Amino acid sequence: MTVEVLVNAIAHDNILKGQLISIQDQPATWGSREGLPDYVIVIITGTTKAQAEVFMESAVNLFNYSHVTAGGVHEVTVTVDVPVQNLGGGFKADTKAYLEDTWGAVFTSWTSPNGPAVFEVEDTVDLADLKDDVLDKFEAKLGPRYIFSSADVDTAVSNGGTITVTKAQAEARIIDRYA
Amino acid sequence: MATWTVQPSGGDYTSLNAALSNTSTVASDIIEISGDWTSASDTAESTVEDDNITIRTKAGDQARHAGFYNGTTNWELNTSGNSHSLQIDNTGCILDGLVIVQSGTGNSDEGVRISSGGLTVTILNTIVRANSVTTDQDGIYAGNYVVTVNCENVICIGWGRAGFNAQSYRSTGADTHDWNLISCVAWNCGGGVAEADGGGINSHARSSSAVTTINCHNCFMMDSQGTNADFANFTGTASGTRTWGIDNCISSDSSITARDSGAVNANEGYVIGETDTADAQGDVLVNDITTAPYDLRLIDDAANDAQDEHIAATGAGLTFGDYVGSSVDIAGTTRPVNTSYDIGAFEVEAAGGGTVTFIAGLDGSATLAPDLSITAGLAAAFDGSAALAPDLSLVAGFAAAFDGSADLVANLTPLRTFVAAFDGSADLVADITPLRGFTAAFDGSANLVDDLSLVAGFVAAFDGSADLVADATVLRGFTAGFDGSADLVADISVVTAAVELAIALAGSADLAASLTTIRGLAAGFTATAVLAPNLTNIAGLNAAFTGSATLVPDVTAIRGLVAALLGSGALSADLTIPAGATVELAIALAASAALAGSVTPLRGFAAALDGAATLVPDATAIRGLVATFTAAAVLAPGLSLVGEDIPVPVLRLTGRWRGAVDLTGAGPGAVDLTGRLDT
Repeated sequence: MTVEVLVNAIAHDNILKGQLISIQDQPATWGSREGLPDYVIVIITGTTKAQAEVFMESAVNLFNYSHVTAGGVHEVTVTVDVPVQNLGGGFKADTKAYLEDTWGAVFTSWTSPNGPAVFEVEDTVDLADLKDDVLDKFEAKLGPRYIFSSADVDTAVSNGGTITVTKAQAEARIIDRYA
Repeated sequence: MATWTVQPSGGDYTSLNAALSNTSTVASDIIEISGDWTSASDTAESTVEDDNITIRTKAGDQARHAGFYNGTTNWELNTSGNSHSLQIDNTGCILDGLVIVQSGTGNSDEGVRISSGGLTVTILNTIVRANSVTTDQDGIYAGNYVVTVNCENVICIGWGRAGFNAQSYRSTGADTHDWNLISCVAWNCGGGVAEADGGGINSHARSSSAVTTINCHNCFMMDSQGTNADFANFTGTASGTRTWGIDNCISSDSSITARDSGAVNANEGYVIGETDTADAQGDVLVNDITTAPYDLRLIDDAANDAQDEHIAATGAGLTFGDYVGSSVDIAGTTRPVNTSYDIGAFEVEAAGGGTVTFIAGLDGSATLAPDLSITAGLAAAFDGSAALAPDLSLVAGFAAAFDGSADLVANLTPLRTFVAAFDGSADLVADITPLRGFTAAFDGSANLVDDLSLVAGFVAAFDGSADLVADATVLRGFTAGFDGSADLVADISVVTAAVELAIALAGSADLAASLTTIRGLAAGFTATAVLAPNLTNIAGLNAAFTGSATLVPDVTAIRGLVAALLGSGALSADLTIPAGATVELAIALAASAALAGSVTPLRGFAAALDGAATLVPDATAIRGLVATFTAAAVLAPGLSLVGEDIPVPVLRLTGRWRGAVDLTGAGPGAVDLTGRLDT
């Protein structure tokens, strides 16, 4: 039970360094361009493809909303359980600006790094729609929940594009961007 | 503009996500998917992040579906994470020939999600299917944006909310949606829990400044679930402008006219099924709506009310905005077949006359069954155990590739332009009658068997153990290369004056009984080749026999027999070259070659008999015998070296005679022995 994980090695656009791209059982057959410089291979022993695919989960569910309604306004608390620095560039500022411009939100606070953000919108706003809209607009910036650390990627690069780890080592090294 | 390949092996990438997520793929690049995906899968959620990206399966490749996911070689993107199978963030994206499946169970897990504003997206010939029904789940979705979505030959199956969802749902904002659907299908959508904002195709336009325009031509949207309509408007408060233009469409409910009171050819209240229900308003008959992945290809049936439904153009010249529709269906079939267009993504290859262009990929255990009559343009790829079965009549334009154990069986009658590649153990069997333009490559253990009648233009390459057996009749233009253990056997008749039969028989090839070649036979016989009984070569037989080749009995070469018999080759009994013919018989008999009884070359006999060669008995060489006999060569009794009207001396024996050379029977005074007798 060994799998090979194709991992992005270069941060670009909304793709994070260390982001898991695809998984194959060993022996894997990779394409001619599925290697350096764009990608590295992380070989994980003692795990199945199904177990490894858990780490392909998206981060779209990281938004948690709660609100109180008083005096004609919703006071909305947005909890973003991701260190802001792990989000794509401009996520915090862009989200804040979008909510202000499109939904008339007035920010009370957005503490760093994990939030919560607190803002107010008119109580006529459908909060479910607001949430969906934010996800629509910024989902691409959220990226995946799990990534390999930059150091792991660098190690693989220096090792010719491949590293081998045990399942336990992989679980210890993979970063949960929710955490 | 680069083209990047995605293949299970041997390509640039092995998944769509990897092809999209690197730094090499840039704007205007093409990602082309091909190969056999039987043992591979593509399961990673993928995102388009550059402008003008085209994602397509390769035309004609086994990775490309033919309107139905075949479960083996076809590529599909099948994801089960908690996001969308394919997300599009940039404009100009074109999807063509894809199968996109969402197996996730989360809310809003879409098939294709358009996730940015200012985008134009074109989706062609694509199947988008939900494996599990969830809430707020759409096949093709765009939210609070300004977007143009063009879809042609797109099928959405089983989505929890909507097949196609133009969902500008926010209460403020000037979102503009332009959706143009040509020959699209949505079936069984809107079945999510308490889902009331979906259906086949849904228009939202909630904001007062939102504008949504939806044009649907030649589509069927059927079996929307719950309270959802096939052609649906958001049922809640919506203040925007919603405009529908619908023509030549089918719905299960009455939503066509509800959306567009002026809809042309509105076919409402129809029933979709696998068999005719004799429903008063019409049935749309498809192959399978019972078992996933479902097969919504139309059935060719007189009761199929989506078939030959209307005469308006289905796509050619049909323009919505900047998008101009094509004139082919999801499988590449040119519309219309017969005189009218079929509603939906499929144009049925129907019987009933007219010009038919059949382009099909038959994979796995596909069968093209009895009584199919195709009058033109069959281009087919048969893989696996595909069978092209009895009574198929192909009038013109048959181009086929047969792989694996494909059979082209009884009573096939392609009348012209038959171009076929047979691989593996393919058989072209009884009663095939291509009349002209037959070009075939037979590999492996292919058989070209009984009762084949080829009138003209037969060009074939037979490899491996290919057989051209009984009763094949080639009238002209037969050019064949037989390798391995190929057989060209009984009853081949080449009869016309314009025959150019060029055959290379290698290995253990046999040119067997009853073969009659009139002229232009040029053959290379090697190894154990046999040129068997009843061959009559009138002219131009050019043959090289090596190994244990035998030209056995009753061969009658009238002229122009040029043969090289090497090894243990034998030119045997009853070879007769009648008087008066112009013979140019040049034979090299080597080793233990024998020119046996009753051989009668009249002139121009030049032979080199080596080893234990025997020119036995009753051979009659009238003139022009130039022979070299070595070792135990025998020029045996009955050889007559005379001729009634041939000048004397007519025989020039210029050879070197060794061993037990026997000139018994040589006519007196008719011999010019310029050679040397060593014994």
